[in-house]
Amino acid sequence: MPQEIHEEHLDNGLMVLLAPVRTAPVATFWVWYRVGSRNEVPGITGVSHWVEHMMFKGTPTLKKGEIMHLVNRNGGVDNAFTWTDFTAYFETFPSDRIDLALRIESDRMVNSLFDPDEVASERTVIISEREGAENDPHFWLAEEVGATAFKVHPYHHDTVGWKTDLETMTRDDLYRHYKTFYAPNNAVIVAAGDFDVNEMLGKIRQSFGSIPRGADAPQVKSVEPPQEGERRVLLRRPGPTSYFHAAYHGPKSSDPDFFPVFVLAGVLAGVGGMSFSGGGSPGRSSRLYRALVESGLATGVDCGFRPTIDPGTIDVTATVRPGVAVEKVERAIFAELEKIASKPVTDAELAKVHKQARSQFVYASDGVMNRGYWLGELEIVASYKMYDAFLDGIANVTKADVQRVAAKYLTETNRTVGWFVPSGNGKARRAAGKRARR
Amino acid sequence: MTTLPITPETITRVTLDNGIVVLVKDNPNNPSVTLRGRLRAGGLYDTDKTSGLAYLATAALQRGTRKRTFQKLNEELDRTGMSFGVGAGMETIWFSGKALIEDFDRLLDLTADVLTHPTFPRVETEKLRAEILADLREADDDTQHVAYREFRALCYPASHPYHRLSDGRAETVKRLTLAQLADFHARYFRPDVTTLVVVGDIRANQAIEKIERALGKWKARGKPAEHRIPDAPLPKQIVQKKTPLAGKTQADVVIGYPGLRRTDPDFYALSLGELIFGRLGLYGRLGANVRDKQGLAYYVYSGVEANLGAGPWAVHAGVNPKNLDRAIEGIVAEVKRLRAEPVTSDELSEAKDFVTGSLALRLETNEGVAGTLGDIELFDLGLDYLQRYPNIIRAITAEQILAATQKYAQIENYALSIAGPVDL
Repeated sequence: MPQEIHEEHLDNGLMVLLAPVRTAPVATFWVWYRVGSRNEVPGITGVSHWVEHMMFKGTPTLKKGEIMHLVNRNGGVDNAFTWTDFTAYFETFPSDRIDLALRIESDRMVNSLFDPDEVASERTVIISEREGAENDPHFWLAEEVGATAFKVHPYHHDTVGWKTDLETMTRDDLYRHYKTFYAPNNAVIVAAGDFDVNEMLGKIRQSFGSIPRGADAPQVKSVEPPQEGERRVLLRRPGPTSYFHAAYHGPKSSDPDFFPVFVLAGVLAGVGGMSFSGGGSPGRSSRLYRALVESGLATGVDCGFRPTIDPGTIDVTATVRPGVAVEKVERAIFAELEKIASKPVTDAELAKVHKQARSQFVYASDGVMNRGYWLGELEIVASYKMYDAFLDGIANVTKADVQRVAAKYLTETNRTVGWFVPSGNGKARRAAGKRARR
Repeated sequence: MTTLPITPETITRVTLDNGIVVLVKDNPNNPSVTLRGRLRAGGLYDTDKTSGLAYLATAALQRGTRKRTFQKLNEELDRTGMSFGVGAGMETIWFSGKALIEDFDRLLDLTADVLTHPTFPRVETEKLRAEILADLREADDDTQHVAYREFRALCYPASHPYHRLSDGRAETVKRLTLAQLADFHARYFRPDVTTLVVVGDIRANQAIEKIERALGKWKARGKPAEHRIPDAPLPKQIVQKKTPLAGKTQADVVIGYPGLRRTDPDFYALSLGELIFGRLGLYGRLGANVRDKQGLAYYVYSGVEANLGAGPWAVHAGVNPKNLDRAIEGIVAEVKRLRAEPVTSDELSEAKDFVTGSLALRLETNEGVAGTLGDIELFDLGLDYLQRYPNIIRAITAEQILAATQKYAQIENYALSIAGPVDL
């Protein structure tokens, strides 16, 4: 389903992507900043996410809370989220109100106040967000595995940040981060929905055109060196059962291996959801489900692989069935991974992944919010052009490709293996992982 | 208003000979189809001894049917990129599916097979039981879940279905027999309690013809069981419970009382009041005070679960244990204020603008339309509901909200449940 996408660049470096979709009287407006936890250094981990929270705390012309009132008054919804590679803000409105989104976003791109009192009260909110995540064993294990798999590259830490950094970060740290990364030349606007392209472009020029170009944002230069041997982490904390997580360094989204690995993950566990709201093929005929869940070793298993700017990880995770030793789950998973690296997948498996990908892609094209999300995320991690090339990219993957990337990435030396084993006592240990934070 | 996707003119609603109510909305803009169904049955028929029966019996439908083994069914879903699920809540059983439009016939065939011809094969059903028991064990370690579950037990008397959650308890789930599951299906799965909504790239008459072909032979015997959620008494005192869980950092809190039925005339006034209280924008007044001003919680919001029965009106919050007392005081202070004085005209007009204005946003996807249609049917709101809706909302006054709040928001007597670190 090719779609109409218009790409424009303003003189100040702002990139604009417009996708007119005139099926419902609704439009969505997004600003994607090329900054996330990937751009953070020790001492200020979590700063991108915290800056996102501060963007709702007011500018000289839109006082704190006013953004929310404007959105409510006009029947809209808004939100923001931060991940390793980006920070994104959106408003969705009935299409005759979409100008408000331009007003809000152009204002807070440069004028957010970062009032010290607001920073202080938000500190407890941010810490509370982290503490809520700490109640979940998955968070501990993912954080620990991520911190072990990445020694050098900032994918090392979770987007929420280390607690000690959240306790000590200052208002100036936050403001400096904002001023460094929030500029038209480090942002992408994505609008999708019921509007006329030329009219929308004119409005964007009017609202954003006069914002001066900022200094070039510092680039992330860290490169994770090749891993030279398996790494293992063991977490003993109170919990209901054991959890398994193996992370393999994988290709970045602009790497030719991206689509073969995407298909590989689909054969292993089913194609995941591509929409903003999740979803995904059930994947209960997949290799990992049959070997782990049907066999009674685990109650859930997945293979996650997301597009990232720098090489991320291919994550195989399982919830161990209570009473089963985690070693057994590990052996069964490794056996499946060795099998797929040593013998080609079948035509039927390949066809299944193609069809699942096509379905998920169609489902994820329903509604303007999904459209805005997809275009933005792909532009940040590679190029929005990937949207139209996506299904072809998957269709072109051969059985030999799948086997080749399995043998290349799913190796012992390339993996970090994490176990979460329930303990009787409540001794907490520090641990990392990556997921989108709101 | 001409752009509303749901009006009597744009929706086809028919009742098949066997009693299934079918609603179809044709949307040619996405080459897929979304199917949503409901049966008027569920965990309300469980007893204290069979808690979790509806849940397990319904989940087991997918584990084997006359035409499909579990494996064959999974293979079919994965080969087509379809999704399908079925599950039991307390008062309704839901099923839903999604497919590319080219696979619609197959989705209907599978749906009919699962709903009408389950075989409850022993091996697969036992695997399912083990998975549910593992889920229950994980839920027992989840502070949000535990806080809510214990809140429901405090808020409703043991004889009321809402006292429990539909997924049951380990000790009852372990004892349920295959015969009980099959009997539950035979008794409660009936076409005359079933509603089916289809939204997608299909003409209404074609969709109905296909549904008739797939499900027309399904027949019910006798009369359906009475389907009624009893009234819930308001609490007579403050009842509270703390549940300590090892290894936790944050405490999750649920505080509230029984609310009202969706069909109650006070519904609109109470929901608008509740929106202002704990949802609008970033969690309404609660968010402004407890989260933003005092910085006590990452999340604090309210929700009215107005269903066929009077589900709870509750405030949910995640709090650092050392802030617990202050957070609860802050929440109670906001409830007192809501009961003491009318909402301001600014708040009221903002809430009204929001719910009427955002209607289009909720209806921009097939899933949004299907969900709304399902509710319109379940609560008997009429296909002109969305056309009438703005006027219903605009007519609500601050005085009506105050009266409804005073009637339902119990400040002297409430249920309070906390789950969190051991040293709470």
